[in-house]
Amino acid sequence: MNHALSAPRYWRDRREWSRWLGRKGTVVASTLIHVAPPELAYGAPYPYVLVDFGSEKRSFLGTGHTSFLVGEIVECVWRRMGTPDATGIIPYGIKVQRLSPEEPVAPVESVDTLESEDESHRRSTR
Amino acid sequence: MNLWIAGASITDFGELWNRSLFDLLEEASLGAVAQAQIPAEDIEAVFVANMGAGAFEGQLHLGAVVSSFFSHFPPAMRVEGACASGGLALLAAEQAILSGQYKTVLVVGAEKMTDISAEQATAVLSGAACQHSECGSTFPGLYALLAQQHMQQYGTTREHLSAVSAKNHRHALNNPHAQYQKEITVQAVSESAMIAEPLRLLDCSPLSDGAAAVVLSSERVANDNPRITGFGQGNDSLSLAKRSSLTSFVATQRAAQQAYSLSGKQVQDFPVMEVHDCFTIAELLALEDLGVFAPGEAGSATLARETTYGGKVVVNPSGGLKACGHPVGATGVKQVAYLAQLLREGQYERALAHNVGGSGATAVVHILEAGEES
Repeated sequence: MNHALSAPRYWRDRREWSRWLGRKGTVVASTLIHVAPPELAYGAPYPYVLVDFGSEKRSFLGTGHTSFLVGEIVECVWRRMGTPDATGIIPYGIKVQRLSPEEPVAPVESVDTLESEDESHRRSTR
Repeated sequence: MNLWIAGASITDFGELWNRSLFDLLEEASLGAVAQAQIPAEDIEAVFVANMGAGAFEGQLHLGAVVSSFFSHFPPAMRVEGACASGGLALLAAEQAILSGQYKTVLVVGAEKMTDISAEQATAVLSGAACQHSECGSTFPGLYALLAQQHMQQYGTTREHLSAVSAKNHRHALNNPHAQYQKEITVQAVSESAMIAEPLRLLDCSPLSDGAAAVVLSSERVANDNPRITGFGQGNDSLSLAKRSSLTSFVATQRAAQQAYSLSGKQVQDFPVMEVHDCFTIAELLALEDLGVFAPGEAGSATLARETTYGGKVVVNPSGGLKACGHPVGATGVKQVAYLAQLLREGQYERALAHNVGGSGATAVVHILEAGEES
């Protein structure tokens, strides 16, 4: 995790974040991590969730709830990931949160093109 | 196949505040050479297994460290494959012997993990996972996902997991080098602190310091030398999300099939095994992937005492990673060194060792047989 706290890696990871933001998938497995690395200890226990997005699976930290049930629909959102280190960079990244019941549950196709900062920001804050 | 285990040595495993990484490497290395009863100058090359001395101790270049224990400075290299580093170093050494490059080599594995905090060590170990796609995971967290899947698909229970840990602690009572020589109950495991649900503290192998070494030779040095008659390595996706199964390790299945084929033996030929129980669920996965039990049946078999003395097969007589301890770089070498000692003592004729890296991306299987009387 400490390696995430560097400006070059943030710059490289932008494309990956844009690809995931807003995608919806189904929980395959989840756990609640009680003993965490130092930079994530402030949020422990935190959920860690394996999600099936249809064309691929990927695991993310969960947010909003401590338990994620197999079969639940979740959405990728933009959230703070940990505490800043000596560089002062506040780590942000992708987490998943439960989709509210009134929202559509159909999977969203992958967005492979790099989105603008404004678009990423809009999706993350809705 | 002429691969003889001429000597073996295992240090104490545990929180060894009075011993450095250098101390552990030296004790195991020279101990194995001494047991082989060969001149130290006969060691033609050294293979060092280690996962994270750079992060744990700030020490890299371990090949040169171990070479310096010898006045003739044999060529040495470090092999890293997370918790499978030991098994991989053995494979590298075996290939070097079988190629004809060397006749006698030393394989030593070590890790010094307790000089930093448990939280820092957890962060170092998480480097065995995919840092690109498994950000925020921990080693127990990934195995917790596997445990949840196994429970959901096969009905594996909390009691099944706890029975693995209680059994391995009971076995460790016979191992003077074990980190924990203390019996624990199934209930105590089930009530221990939560680490990553459903895995609890006593489902998890500990942070450990320790080292183990073997001397391998293309020639039989003494009548009681065991032989390595089979080996195999399998790999799978580093990321759990890209695996075809979350209730088995394809890497273990591949490694086992290679080893069985090379040795001409089948799983039922082995009365004793050391398998990679970094977490209780890992032992159940190992026993099913090696073919000892059908998928989903290892838990109930463990509870029915089929994996201890008097059962179908004795699994982890050393106490396994759970109770003997898990200095990650040492573990794969320790498994083979421990089984070699049991064969040398005449307790068994054949044995199997199973070593896993990370959450199943790498697996190594070794088959050992007692040397025939000459």
